[in-house]
Amino acid sequence: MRRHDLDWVSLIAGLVFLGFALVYTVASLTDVSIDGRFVWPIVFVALGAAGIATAVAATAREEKAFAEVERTDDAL
Amino acid sequence: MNENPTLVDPLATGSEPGGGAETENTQQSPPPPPPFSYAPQRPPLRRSRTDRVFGGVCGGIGRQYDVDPTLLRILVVVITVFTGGGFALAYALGWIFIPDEPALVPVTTPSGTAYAVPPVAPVPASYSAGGTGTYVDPGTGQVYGAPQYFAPAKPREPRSYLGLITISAAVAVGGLLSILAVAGLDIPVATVAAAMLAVVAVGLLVGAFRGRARWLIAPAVILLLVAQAATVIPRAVSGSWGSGVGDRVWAPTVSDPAPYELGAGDAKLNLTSLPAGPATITAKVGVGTLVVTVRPDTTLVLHGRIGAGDVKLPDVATTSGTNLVVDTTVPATSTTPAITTVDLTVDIGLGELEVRRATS
Repeated sequence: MRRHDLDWVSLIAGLVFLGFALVYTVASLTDVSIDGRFVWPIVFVALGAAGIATAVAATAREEKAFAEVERTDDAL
Repeated sequence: MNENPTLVDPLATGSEPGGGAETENTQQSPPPPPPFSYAPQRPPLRRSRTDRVFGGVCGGIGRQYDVDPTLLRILVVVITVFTGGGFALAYALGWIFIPDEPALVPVTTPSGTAYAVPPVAPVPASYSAGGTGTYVDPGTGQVYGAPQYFAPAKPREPRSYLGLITISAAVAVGGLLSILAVAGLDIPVATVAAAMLAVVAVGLLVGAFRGRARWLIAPAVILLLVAQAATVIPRAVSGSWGSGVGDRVWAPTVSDPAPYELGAGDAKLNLTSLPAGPATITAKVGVGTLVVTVRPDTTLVLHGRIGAGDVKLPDVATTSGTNLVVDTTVPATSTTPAITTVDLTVDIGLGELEVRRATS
């Protein structure tokens, strides 16, 4: 597999889901109980944050690319 | 938005395999004639830059499927209102996961200004403008369609099998744990779902650094739902799955009856035939409804929990949610013939608890 830029959406989603997987594994095997009302808000906050991080990174990248294109245009 | 800007993607007007290579040809000699076809070739789904209100999701989908984007926008608003705002989340996911179309730059062509994906290959000077958007090769007289401008072709990435590997591993882990559970080990369904979720989560983490497998979020969401449901329900239901399925009518006539239990179904607990004096009753329903009917002169002291569902009490707004704890008193509304206090303990895994006052 080739190396890629870091994908924040996958990274944050992976961490959050791994966290809940561990929590639910423990909860299902012991008497620990989970307040399920927090689960989905946390997932949404994490995915939202990941989306914003991706958008900000993409904006910076595109602005840089556009500036390069404008330089090329001026040269023509 | 898109991590690997798909520079090989042509403009929205169409696509041809090997388009990138064609660009290089146009710079030196006339390209080989493209296969002539009136069938429009569908571009990949992209969020529109030109038809955009909120991120261009409707503009892009409308262009892709030949639907008026305005109609889609109205639909989005209507569905969002009807789902209490929930559909806005789906729209946001579209915004996140549908890549933006590449920014276009103006290019001067023989027929005027065109817009193309940067950086742009110059139009061969030897071409002369034919009809609308067509070009005539002066050497052969061959008529070409409007030239497609492409960015330099990037070498195509090898296809990533990370997602397939992850899902296969998760299925294998789920199957293995299920076999162990069948063989007698105490492995709850929630544990199986959580273990599969862990595998998918690891796949996502690997994908964050190499390969791309964002779609694994979808199975992860489903597995988290299963883990959550399987954690909530059995805790309340344990012991009552074996209590049968169907509809029950429980009408105790003694003040201390044996606990009532139902695995799945609708139960009616009629407390109007209780003898005078305090009574203590326990009722358990795994999945279903429990409708409790009390006399007007009965004060009901209610304890218990509902794993997920609704609680409807007289003169009180319905409560919905998960892990609802009920600890309340439903007061008598009449003092005749005599106020009786009934202590009722309920346990419902998934469903509804309703308390009604008998009319007489």
